[in-house]
Amino acid sequence: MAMHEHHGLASFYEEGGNSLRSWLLTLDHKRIGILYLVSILAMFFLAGILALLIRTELLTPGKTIMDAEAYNRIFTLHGALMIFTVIIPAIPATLGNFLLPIMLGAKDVAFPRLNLASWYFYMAGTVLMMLTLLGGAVDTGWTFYAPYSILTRNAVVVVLLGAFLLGMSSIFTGLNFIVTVHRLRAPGLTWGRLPLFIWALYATSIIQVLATPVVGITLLLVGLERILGIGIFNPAMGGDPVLFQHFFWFYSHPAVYIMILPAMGVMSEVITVHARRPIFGYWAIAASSLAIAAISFLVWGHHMFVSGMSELAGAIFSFLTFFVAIPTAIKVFSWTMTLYRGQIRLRTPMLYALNFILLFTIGGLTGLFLGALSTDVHLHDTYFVVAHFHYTMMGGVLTGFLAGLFHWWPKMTGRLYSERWGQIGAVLYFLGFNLTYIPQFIMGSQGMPRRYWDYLPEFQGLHVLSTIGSYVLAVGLFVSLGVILHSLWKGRKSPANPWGGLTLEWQTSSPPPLHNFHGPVKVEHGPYAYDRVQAKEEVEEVTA
Amino acid sequence: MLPEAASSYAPAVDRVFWVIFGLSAFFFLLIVAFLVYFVLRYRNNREVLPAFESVHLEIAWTVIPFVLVIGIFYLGWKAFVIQRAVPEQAFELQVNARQWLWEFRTPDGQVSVNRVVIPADTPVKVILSSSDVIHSFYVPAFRMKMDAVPGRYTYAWFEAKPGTYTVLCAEYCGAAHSRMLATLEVVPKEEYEKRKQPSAVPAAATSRDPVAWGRELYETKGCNACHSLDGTPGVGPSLKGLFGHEVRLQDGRVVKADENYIRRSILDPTADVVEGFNPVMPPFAGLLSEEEINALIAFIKSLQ
Repeated sequence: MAMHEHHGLASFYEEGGNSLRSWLLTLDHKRIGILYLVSILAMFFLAGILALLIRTELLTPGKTIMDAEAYNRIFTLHGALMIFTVIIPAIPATLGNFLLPIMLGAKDVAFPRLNLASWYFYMAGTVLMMLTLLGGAVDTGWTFYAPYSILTRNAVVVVLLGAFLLGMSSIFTGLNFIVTVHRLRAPGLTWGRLPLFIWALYATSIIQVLATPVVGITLLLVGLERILGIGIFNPAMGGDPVLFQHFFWFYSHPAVYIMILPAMGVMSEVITVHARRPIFGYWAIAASSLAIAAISFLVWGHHMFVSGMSELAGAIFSFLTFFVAIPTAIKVFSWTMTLYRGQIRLRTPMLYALNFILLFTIGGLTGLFLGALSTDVHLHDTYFVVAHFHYTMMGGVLTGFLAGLFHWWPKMTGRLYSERWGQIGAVLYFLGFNLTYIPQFIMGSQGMPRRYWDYLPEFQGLHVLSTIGSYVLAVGLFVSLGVILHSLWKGRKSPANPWGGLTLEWQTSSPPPLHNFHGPVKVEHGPYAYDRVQAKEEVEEVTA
Repeated sequence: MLPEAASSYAPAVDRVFWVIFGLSAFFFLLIVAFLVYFVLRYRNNREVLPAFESVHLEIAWTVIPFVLVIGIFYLGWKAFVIQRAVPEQAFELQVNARQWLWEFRTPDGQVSVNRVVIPADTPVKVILSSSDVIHSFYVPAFRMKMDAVPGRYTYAWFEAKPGTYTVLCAEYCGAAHSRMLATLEVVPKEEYEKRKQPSAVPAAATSRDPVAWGRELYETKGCNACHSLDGTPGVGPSLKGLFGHEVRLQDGRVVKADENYIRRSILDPTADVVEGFNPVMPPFAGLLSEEEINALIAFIKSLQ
């Protein structure tokens, strides 16, 4: 693994040039990962600005900066863009695309053309969603509940079609990853030596391939109902609106695990590398990813305890829901124990990983209140739910994404960023995040419903705190964005293995050559054998 | 953290909440304690320490949470059974939800919008329906919530202490979702019996000042959710300075806002849609008496 620089292969950026054509028609998984990264960061920026508009509107009861209809459109677009164009693809399509083949010791994914097609489907779906902005936008909420989504007068069909295309893109990526993991592992890379990030992406891909078609069909049915007037979900035409909720959550609940599992995978990599320590409970973590994937299909009804669904069904769904808590708890405990006797380096990725453990634990524990039937009756559709899913989806998925982005940024770009400013961003992010969402837990417990443009005056104090928190959070994110952009112009060149990691991606140059490695790859030890194999930290700097 | 507990089962729900809160806080603090200790102890450690594995530990942190979450499920289910099992002989309150108001009908035939009087310390079965989209009947003080679904009936129940409680719509239902509030006035049984005597409401009403009555109707029938009195447009146009002026409609017509225009706009709102607004107002035909419409017109006239 040493001496790779001397092979002298050009990086994948240099090979093939930097013409527009070399990017738009590329079949290289790394370039496709970068295309996704740029697109997804742009969407994250846009949907984040929408979030700030929402929080600003909520500074006062009644109108602050926009009227109710504009507010409804903005929270719908914020939710739809964040879920479909940012959180679902964030980790698999960017970090996964770039790293999965390298971590397997492969030259590329199994189906490079399908991989490029998935990006074009992603762009088409995203553009369709954005187009609705011109035509008056959509005000259904990202959940598109019938019959409101059938009766409301706006561009619902366009958004549905956008979500459908994004679903296709997600299926392509999942299919590609499953085949790649099965077929393209390097000699010596047994299932027991797979990095846990790969296990997590593998479990995610299974859910993507199995669950996404159901939501695709459901969204198309809503579209058909709107265009052709077929009564499927609208009771005025003999349809059943609760059936829509079953179909929708049959996908969308597994979808939250499509979102969180890759972030959990990132966590296992970042923590082991920056604690220079074998993962605690490799098989428990790998198996818990698969367990979560399996159980996730059986719990969708917990979104529907007060929908008119039967009490018996509610009780069964509640019971099954609690089973998801176990594999999730196992992961959190295992990461924590991995730090024991470690050689901990508090670099930026590690700070985000610690943020993840704290925020995601709060997100998971508050899920207990919502999984239990009687407390859910009170908390359902309140700000408690809003805070809960932001702790899991943003505190979990996006924090994990940021941990992974800072962890692999030197590998992807060949540049080192400012450690001190990266750390400042991570700390601001943590403070702003909690200031934004802890008041929302309190408001929700007190009975503040979600999706409210106007609210009772007694909630104003907490809303103001939450809005201030969102500004701090935004500053933290802007600092982080500044840090990575700055590194592109002014960053020092990164060595091959800045943090001393043992997985395959650290054994090739930063950035890697077109076919990823400078010579044949052979795997001789597990991914976290830090107690037996020593890899030098080529960058020693730890500011904090 | 929780609001006033005003229904018979609210304390049972709150107990479940606090048990989960206690367990969550314990596990959260446990994880924080270990994280902080490990980070402080092993930060910038340069020494490779022996590997650590423990099957016992893994079994413990699988089995203990498992038992605890099954316990939480049981507690949640037990209180849910109370929330869902309506006592026999309950007072039946029919509630119909529509964009964006609540219509109430009591067993003695009283019909009202956005405000209803209910006897205290009596089991009340709320039978929910919806005229358009899904709404959700939420009374935080009762720990009660149930969706109102078009095309079927759903139900919930409560037995409340005397007091005045806010009903909120908890399922997103469109433009004025956040203004879809109602008031439950829960009064002692004796007072309820006294009030429900046909106290000649219509007669008393006709002798009232029509402008004051119209203002009351404006607030209690839900007009205020969409129509402001200060000139700012909401979901619908403001009522300020409306009467006697010309109104430009969506289809290009210009009409004068006279008594007939206002009457038609209340009973059949989509007939004349004002330019710049959507035809989203529900028709009030059958929901208002002639006297009430007259009072509303008198009130709107007064807003010059």
